[in-house]
Amino acid sequence: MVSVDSSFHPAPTFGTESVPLPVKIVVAGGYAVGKTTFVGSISEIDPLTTEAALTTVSADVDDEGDASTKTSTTVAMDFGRVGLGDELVLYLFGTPGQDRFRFMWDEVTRGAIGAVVLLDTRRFEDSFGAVEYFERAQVPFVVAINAFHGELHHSVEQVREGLDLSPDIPVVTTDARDRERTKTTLLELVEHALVKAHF
Amino acid sequence: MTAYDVNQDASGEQPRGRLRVPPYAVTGGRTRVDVDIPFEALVRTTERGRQNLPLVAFERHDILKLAENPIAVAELSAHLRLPIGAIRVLVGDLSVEGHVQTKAMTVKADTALLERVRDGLRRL
Repeated sequence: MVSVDSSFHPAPTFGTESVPLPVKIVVAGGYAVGKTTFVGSISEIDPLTTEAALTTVSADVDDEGDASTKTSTTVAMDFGRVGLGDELVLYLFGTPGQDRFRFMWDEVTRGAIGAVVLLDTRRFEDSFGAVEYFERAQVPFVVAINAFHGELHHSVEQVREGLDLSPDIPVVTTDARDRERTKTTLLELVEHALVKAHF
Repeated sequence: MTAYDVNQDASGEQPRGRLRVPPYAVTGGRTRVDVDIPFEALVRTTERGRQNLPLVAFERHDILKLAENPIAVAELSAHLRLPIGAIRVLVGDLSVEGHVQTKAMTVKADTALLERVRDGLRRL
């Protein structure tokens, strides 16, 4: 059994009702690449939107001495839910893949099984930041080319090369609108995470 | 009315559809994540929470109602139209009071869990 804390607080648990264990997969990708479609194709609820107002602190140094500036940035995230039996619930969080959203990835990926980087081959650059981040943070991930209408502008090999991916990172094609293909993509990720878990 | 004085807001008419106070006012101005609850953490109202429901007001009341069945922090945020940070603080307080229990992964997923996720996905 995986070690799970039933509560984040010293608060006692009242009652004996069981709560399923939530697990999380992050779906990262650039603007309009199909994150919400991907999530919605398999979610048992219509994707919901949550706002994460995240505070970043940047240190400014001037003649008056040190001062830090707090900036609050609001990022909307669409997410969905898939029940996996009675004891597990999978949450899929769509999160922007561009580099400028890097500040929130620590937060979003914490505790995640892994990530699917959804890619539109016409806009490689939207995914550089996410790929680099997940590699460095050792978050298991797969790159999934969202082939709209079966159209591939670049081959899997070109994508691998273009993103400078480690050879062990799976690159797959998917169709965000198609439940079965979304499911297959998620399975690719979980299988990959399983391989990584053995090391 | 000060931004932090949510209770005074109750005497007036209820705003429809949108917040009359800044979202963070409902947490008494605390926005720091002193409660480290992940977005996907599931929240469930305890027996004590059900008993005390009439005594709990506003957003806290809404959370206890919504969490009668397990519901994620992010879902509470979406349904109550409050930023996740605000929900975290409220849920954190409710948890300390014993009104809700929360559950989430606190360690990296191990092989056994990954296999359960894989098998669950396959059965979909």
